[in-house]
Amino acid sequence: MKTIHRITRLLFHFGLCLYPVDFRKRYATEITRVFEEGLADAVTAGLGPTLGYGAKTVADLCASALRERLRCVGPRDGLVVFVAVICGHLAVCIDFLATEVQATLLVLLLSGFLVGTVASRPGWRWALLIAVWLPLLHVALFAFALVHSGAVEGFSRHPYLSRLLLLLPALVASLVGLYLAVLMRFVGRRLAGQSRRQS
Amino acid sequence: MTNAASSAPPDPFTLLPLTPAVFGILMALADGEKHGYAIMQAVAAETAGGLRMGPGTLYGTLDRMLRAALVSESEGPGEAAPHRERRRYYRLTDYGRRVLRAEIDRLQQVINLARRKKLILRPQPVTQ
Repeated sequence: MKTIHRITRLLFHFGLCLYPVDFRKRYATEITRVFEEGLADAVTAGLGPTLGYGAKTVADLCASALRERLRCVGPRDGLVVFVAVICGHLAVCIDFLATEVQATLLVLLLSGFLVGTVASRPGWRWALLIAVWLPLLHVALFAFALVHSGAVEGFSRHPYLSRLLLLLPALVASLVGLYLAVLMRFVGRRLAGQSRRQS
Repeated sequence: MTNAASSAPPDPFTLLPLTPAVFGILMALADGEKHGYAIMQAVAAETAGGLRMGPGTLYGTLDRMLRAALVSESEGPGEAAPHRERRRYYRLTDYGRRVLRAEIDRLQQVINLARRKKLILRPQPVTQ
């Protein structure tokens, strides 16, 4: 029971990091207190209620953190999200159509660069938003195809989870493109500053 | 919901219909000020377990309600244990009470319409 208690608390405290900073500063203490009170009640009720409470609370935390994050998205960030999602889907299309992996990596690299020219900090989240569609859509389309062909039992035999590893090369390619753009922006600003000082 | 702190609050009817979470919190606070966990318990009890909010949803909703001036933070009773940080209490504002009444009127109209269409055969007994 103590282990479950500890794991639930650990997951909860990790979940708190998902909130935007302002929200976390304002409410983290209160949210933690409410969580601890609920957990204490659940622990006295037994193992089942404790597990149920832990799972529900962590799920609620993730969902509400996403809601709070979306509330903080400004019009510019909204546009960047839109472009990143479109670029991610484009990379998936290229991956299905092209015979060589280089084409997909090039699209991811260019997508990262495009988003990096306008994206706000931290850049890695935009790279993740571009890259995440490749493994997700691979697994989703594979599952969809199996269900429609009626060979659902093949899903358990096929190593489809290995497709999730596609995230790694996709992320590397989009990160390289994105930080290349960030570097170019930085150098451009420095050069512009120098030329202003000289004039 | 718009930020109503700096200007006159909008017409209560513009906020309708309320989400279940906002309605549940307003109903819970209609009895008096409460802290977060008490609000969660009151909402769960008053909806017979139909609406169970997690702490994240609760404070996200409370944050929006504070911005819309539906609720305000209050001192709470002076029972705070010395070793613990003071809790935040929340209470209904006058505007929040008006919005709650407007929502109840709206729901009453829905009930009346359902009665006229004989979708509700007889009034349900109120259970505590």
